Amino acid sequence: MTVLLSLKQVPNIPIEADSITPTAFAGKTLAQIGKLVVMQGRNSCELREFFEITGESADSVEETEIVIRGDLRKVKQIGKGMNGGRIRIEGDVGMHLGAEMIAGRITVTGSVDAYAGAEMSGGNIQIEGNAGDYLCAGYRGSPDGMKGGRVFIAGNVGNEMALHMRKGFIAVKGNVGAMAATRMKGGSIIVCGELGPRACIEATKGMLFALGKVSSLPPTFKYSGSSEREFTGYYIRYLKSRRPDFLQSDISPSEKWAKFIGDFAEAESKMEIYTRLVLNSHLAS
Amino acid sequence: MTEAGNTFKDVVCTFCGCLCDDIIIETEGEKITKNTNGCAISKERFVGHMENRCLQPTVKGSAVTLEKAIERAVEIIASSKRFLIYGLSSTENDAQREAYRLAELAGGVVDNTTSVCHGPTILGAQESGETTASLAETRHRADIVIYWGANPAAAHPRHIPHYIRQPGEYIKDPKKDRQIWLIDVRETTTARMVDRFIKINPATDLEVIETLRALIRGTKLDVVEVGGISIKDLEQIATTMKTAKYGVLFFGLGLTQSFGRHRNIDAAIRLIQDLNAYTKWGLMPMRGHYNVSGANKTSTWVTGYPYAIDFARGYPRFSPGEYTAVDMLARGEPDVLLNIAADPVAHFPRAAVAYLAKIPVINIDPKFNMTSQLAEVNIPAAIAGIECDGAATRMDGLPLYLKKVIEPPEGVIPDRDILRMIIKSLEKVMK
Repeated sequence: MTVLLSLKQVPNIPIEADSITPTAFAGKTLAQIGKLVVMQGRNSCELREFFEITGESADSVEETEIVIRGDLRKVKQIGKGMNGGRIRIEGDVGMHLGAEMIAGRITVTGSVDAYAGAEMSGGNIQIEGNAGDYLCAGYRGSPDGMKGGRVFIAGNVGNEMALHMRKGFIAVKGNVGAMAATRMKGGSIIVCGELGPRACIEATKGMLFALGKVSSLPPTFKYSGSSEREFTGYYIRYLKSRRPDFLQSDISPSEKWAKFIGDFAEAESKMEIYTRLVLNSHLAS
Repeated sequence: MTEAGNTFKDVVCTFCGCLCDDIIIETEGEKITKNTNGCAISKERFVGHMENRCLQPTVKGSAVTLEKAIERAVEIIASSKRFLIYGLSSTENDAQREAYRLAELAGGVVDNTTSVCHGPTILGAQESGETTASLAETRHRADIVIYWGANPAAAHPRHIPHYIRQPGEYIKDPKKDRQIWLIDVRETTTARMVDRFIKINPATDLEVIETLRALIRGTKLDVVEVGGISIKDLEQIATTMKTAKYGVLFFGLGLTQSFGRHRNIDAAIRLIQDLNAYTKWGLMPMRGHYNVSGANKTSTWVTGYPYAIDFARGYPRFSPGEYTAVDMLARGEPDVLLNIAADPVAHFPRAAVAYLAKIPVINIDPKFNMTSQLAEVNIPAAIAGIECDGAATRMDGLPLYLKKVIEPPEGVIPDRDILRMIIKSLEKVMK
């Protein structure tokens, strides 16, 4: 059952709406939902001051779907710590979307600001637009970033994506900014567009598949040969089954992959980067 | 501490993070006449302390009494939803403490100038910890000192002559027993003062540091050259660093504000940590404003975080990039700015300044600056370390007592007292 939130007008000062989660909505009437707390600056406000609330609420988290409409760029922390249910956002949305998410599904038709999916440990996020910096990253001083879940971005992603990533899966259709997968220690990433500079710096474990062009890699990564690699097909097939639109052209099973391992500045150097040799012969030497 | 007539010995200079504490100040009546031992900047700071002074509180450009200015400031703060305090690096520790109290009381955000200088240093330290040294330790023990992306000849004029090219307990001849290196993208004035200058290509600091780390581990890499330095030279640099008895790496904004920022610092810290498996190394940021290091310390003591702290929910939260002044202003978040001991209008990016022009600004500063042109309320303050006492923290974390050498202009009070007056009135209004 769906609860529809329509933003009345863009707030002049950003609001923190970490109360917009299916868990907080489940078992409440629309009137009770309207009284949930959101913060605007130092003021504690009610959700109904900012949103028109219609639709029908559900008793359980699993049955709860929240649809949010409007220019939400000044609304932060939607779905923070979300544990089950669905959120659909029609438009662009502000920082910390789905941060520390445990389970459930978030879809966004527009773009998201920084720290989307930060430190998430489960669930699924699908973003049709672009994502800002620190997508699925760890917060400052935190040893672990993303710990699980699946994230699909149809647009481009900013800098330091997947910082400290430990587990989980990220697929990006567009380009990825600088220093992606810094200090990564597990999980897998597919980048269909161009991979930015300094990828995987200080990474110790994990896998990154670069389907597009890679202009440079850190000097502390070593070339580990080019060949057909059967298992890459597993990841490509998985992506194709979930989001066929992410792959511009078919990647043949006989595709040659250049493998790089690192980061050799670290004591443990088990990070693997796979790039398509046909696009990146300049790296393999 | 000897004070003979109008001569003050061992005065701490309050310009840069060196906090040189051997300055001799002579005064005559209300004037400072002489500064001995200070660098050119220090001389100007003390002797020219009355230049360009703001002496009168103003509201919307018209002169008012201090009480009226405070009253207006309190009105503005009380009616705000998202209050921002910025600055604090050129004032003393007690004023900083009052600023945190004000932020907590008003449920606002407090940020210091760290967010535009050595913020990345702190983020790096939060990732990897710190391996630090003191300046005295450096002078007594270091047989190798490396400056990376810093130009002390211009920004910290006495850093090399006062702390580094000085004999110490174990370094008898600082010219012979101590090597000073400079790593930078261009040959600065400092390059002429050091024993070895290593030029690297711009925006390759991170690559060079990571390569050094790999070489120190003894790994053979595929590359033949990194950042314009051949791998052979890098191997030699790594060996020298590994075989030093005691090394210290000083780094400046060339490392913290170039491509990579906190990643550069994180890597530099880990380089030093790696080196400590073989010998003793420390690293230290070349802090700019005299008490920006103190701003981080006091903030961490009081709130648990070094900068970019939000009190909106009644407890401190930390998020650089979100609660940092530049980002907040560029995103159009705050509805009031209280600026103290800094000049955001002169230093912030255009988008941030453009927004600043739309909101009321309260400016507390001893001198006229670009922010005072824009501020609705201007409150003059006494200069800490000259006209009032206090404490400040040197770049290595050592707190030093600042002396008062001369009376402030009439009616002008220290930053901490201005903030206390604001807090006192605000407490009544917010009840």
